[in-house]
Amino acid sequence: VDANLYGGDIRSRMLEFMGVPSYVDASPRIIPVSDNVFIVRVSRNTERQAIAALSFIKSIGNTKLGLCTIKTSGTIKSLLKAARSSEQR
Amino acid sequence: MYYFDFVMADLSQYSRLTSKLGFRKIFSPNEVSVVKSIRAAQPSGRSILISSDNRELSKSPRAGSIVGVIFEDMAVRKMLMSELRDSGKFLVFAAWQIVSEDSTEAVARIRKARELARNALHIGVPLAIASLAPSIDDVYSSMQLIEMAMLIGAGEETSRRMLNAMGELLYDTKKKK
Repeated sequence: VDANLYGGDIRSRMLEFMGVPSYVDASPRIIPVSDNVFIVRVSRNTERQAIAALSFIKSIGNTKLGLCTIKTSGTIKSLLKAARSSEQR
Repeated sequence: MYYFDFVMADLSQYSRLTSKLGFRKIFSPNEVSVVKSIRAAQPSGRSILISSDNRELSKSPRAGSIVGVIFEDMAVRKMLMSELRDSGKFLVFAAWQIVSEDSTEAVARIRKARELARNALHIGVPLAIASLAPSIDDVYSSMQLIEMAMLIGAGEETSRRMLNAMGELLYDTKKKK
């Protein structure tokens, strides 16, 4: 999945599963890291709802897929570091 | 607390998947099989029975090779749940019973799972949750499975235990051998 292309689709599916009030609270943004890794930035204390919503996304566009949450953190910097180190390994 | 998952597909080709997803161990179908009838369960092995047939399910508390039971239709069976509690077998929720692409269907599934989980917690059956993934696309991380357990009404501590207890029982047994 190219998160640059599918960022809007991922967010619209999150809206479907979170509902408008929770989605507005979370205000998710997609930050691509590599071809199949991306960061979902959400507001503090809404990460659990975002994790649950991501579990329900089984396709984006015509592509069937499964999304797994690997790590949650308070800063994007540490998530980028973790994503890059896991790619190198 | 260590977390364990169970899958229905062979995921051995995906290296480092276990640690990436936050598990201590992901049990493969060779280690813990998912069977539709008790006859199909390996006597020496450990199996999870999945069925909506009351006759088949009613044999599960006395079957030594069955470690957990999945109510395929998620119907509440109070008598059977009491027997499962007494025999120490787990009532297992598979992630694919809860997840649906269609949001309306997902709400219906979650409500049904909630009713079952509420009754199970009241009766005191040991609960477990696993992805039981039929393919790599259906694998979930430990974080996601904990959130799913919380969606069906388990508290945070119970959710974590749901991801730990059944795996720890089997993992320890294997280590002792």
